[in-house]
Amino acid sequence: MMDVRPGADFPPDLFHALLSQQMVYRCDADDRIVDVNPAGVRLLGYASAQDLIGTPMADLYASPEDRGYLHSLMREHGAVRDLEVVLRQRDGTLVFVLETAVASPRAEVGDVDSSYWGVMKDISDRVEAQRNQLHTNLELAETNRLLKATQSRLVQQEKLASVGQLAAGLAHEINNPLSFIISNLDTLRSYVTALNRGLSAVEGLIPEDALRDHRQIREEHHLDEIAADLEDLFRESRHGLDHITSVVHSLRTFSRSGIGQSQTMVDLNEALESTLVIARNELKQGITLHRDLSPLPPVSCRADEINQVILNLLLNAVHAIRSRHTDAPGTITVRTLAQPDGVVLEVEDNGPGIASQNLRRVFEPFFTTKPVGEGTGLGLSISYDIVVNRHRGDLSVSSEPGRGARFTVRLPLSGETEET
Amino acid sequence: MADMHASQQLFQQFNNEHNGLALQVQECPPEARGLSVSGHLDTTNAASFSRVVHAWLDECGGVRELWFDLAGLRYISSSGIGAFVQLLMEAQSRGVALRLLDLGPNVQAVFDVLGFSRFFVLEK
Ligand SMILES: Nc1ncnc2c1ncn2[C@@H]1O[C@H](COP(=O)(O)OP(=O)(O)O)[C@@H](O)[C@H]1O
Ligand SMILES: [Mg+2]
Repeated sequence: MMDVRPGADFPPDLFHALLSQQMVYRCDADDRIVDVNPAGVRLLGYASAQDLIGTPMADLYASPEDRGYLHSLMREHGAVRDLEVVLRQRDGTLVFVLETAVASPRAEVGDVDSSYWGVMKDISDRVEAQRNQLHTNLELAETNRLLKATQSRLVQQEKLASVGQLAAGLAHEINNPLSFIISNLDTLRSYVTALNRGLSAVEGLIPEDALRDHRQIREEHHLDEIAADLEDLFRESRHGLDHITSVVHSLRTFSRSGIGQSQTMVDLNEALESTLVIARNELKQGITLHRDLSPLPPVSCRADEINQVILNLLLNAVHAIRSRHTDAPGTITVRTLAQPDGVVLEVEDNGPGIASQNLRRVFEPFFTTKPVGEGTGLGLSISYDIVVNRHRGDLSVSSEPGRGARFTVRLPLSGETEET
Repeated sequence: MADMHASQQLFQQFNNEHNGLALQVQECPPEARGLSVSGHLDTTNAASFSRVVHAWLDECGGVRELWFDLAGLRYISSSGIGAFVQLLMEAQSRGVALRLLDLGPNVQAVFDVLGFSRFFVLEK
């Protein structure tokens, strides 16, 4: 039995009571156990002190490096107080203890490194309680984040839906007058052309002596300038009307009032190529296109809608590159990738990128940073609706401001999509 | 970089007041901030470590990632792990990712024993 004696001024009862609760050990200069009390044998899960004697202390540590750390503290301070270490019980269970160690009081003077006395206090319960508390907090925080993400997605979908209804109504209201305005304008133009021609014919009949008066009248009423302006006026009006038409078209697609196309098996690489043909004109000037395509399994989707998504992304990339107003080469990289459960298409550009405060807003309907008349702010929200709501896929964006933007479309293999 | 200088002062003061733990700002990619932690992190210094790192986090507006180089961390106790867990929660709530790099085996072991490794990005 270990010989432990209380110090002169220490109450003997308290001393022994403490020692019956806590592991006390002594080890030799090689840091092997020389003696250990019953509480220590119990703590480490052994049958008797004999099983432990001769064992290097480092072997009882979960991390032997920590024993080295204790030694360095001993060398530095001559003692260690309440160092938290993890011990490995005989069956492998780990226990947290506070270790206090001093150089052996029986050591000769100048022989302080020869052996240690140590006391180990089991604090597993306390550590466990703190751990559980932290664990719960962490998991709560995780759940909260998940809820928030789901919520913001729901809000987004809700917004899309209500804007969609509004858009459907607007598109309908605008579409009818728009078509007769366009048709009338075209008629007007041909009438004016006819009038002009008639007028010139009549002018041909004006007698020589009236020509002066005639010229004066033309000048007074600015007829030549008006005639020259007319063509521009018609062209600009027609241009404006075309823009309105395309906005209305977007609104209709957005509100799903278009005729729903049925799903087919589509190779996204082919969809991409056909869309690139359409966008070719835009892609020509000053932009290099990189293709980084992998073979893809076909996915079930509505091809016209997916084409529209790709076109939106490509045109945005082109606009982004143009907006830099530099002659530095612009590049757009289109990338496709097969994944176990779906296919991925990315459109990446080296334009100005998207400021972080706008990153979450780009999918919002009517969000645009383009000048009035150039952007509708609908392209990405329509694309989001198509990919996420109608194809159960995923559309995300990442951007390093100043370096460009990358849009990623994911479509699931199992093409279970929303009914039209 | 002005804020890098401010952070260095913050940690300089910490290092003067704490013997066993040294913190130093490290070079990082533009959207990240890095701190090397060396010495030992335990009950005696976990609370002030927490405080100074949270103050640092306040200064790191707009940053996406915090890197902690733990190669020089010789010892960590459960309180030290607690400090990192709290930091993780704070960082996550601000949308900042935490990366702990180069943990020694004994430091990694405490994360493992307490079951927190899966919440962190721990890198060799
Ligand atoms: N590739 C890109 N690079 C930078 N900004 C982009 C890019 N794509 C979209 N954006 C931003 O998102 C906004 C919304 O895009 P979108 O919904 O297509 O509408 P629009 O193109 O009509 O503005 C754009 O105005 C622009 O600010
Ligand atoms: Mg657009």
